[in-house]
Amino acid sequence: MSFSRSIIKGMHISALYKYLKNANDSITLLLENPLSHSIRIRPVIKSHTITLVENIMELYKDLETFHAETEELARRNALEESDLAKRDLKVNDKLIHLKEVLINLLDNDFENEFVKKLRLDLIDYVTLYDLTKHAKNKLKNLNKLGHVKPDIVSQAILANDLAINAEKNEQ
Amino acid sequence: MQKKMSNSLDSFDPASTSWNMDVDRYKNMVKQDIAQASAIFHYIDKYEYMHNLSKNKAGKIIKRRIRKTKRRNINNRNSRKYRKYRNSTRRTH
Repeated sequence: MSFSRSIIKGMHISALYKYLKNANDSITLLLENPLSHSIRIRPVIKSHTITLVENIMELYKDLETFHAETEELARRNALEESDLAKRDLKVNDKLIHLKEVLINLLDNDFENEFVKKLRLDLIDYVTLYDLTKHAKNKLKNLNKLGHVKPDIVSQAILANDLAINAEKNEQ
Repeated sequence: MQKKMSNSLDSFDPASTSWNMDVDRYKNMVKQDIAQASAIFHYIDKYEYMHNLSKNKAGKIIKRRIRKTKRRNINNRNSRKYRKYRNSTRRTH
């Protein structure tokens, strides 16, 4: 499992809103001028990146309006409990779908400057619990595969040590 | 003014201030560690992605096969053009 996936999967809806709101400016810039980050001869932005970004924006707006509507109706007590539960389920489904598309974008375009920035922005939302869990799993997987690159394994060990250190300092 | 200053000095507690500084220092350290570890994990993901991309050997073999077949077809077409002269050329030699 990639790091972006493990972080986004554990993200609360409010954190995801905040994250996507911050990313909104760069996303609109990218959609307005898709060649801005690229060399004209060899465009860096793949067409699937643009499609994914468009999907993300659409899903995000849809989820935001639906969620706000549900909260407003709940505040006014205009919904019965069963309807509210149904709406909550729908919000959850939409959230899962949005997360999947976002993960797809972050895990499939490592050369794009814009996606790189999105990946870096994600660091602000990393929790210690997610980090230590991911570090443990990653080390276990790398050891299981008998990774040919010792450099990668040592990097993973270093990251694991940092996570343990952070956990100690937090206490 | 002096009264104000003495009041503020009375309320100043060196022990609590140093404790606050320590807490801030530890918080910053935790943040830094998290950021560094996260950056490393992103780097590992990128490495694995690039490594998997270069692993598409089956695709490369298929492409090579297509290229060879294309060349063979062109060669056959070219040789077919001169088939009717085959006998006559043989006679001259």
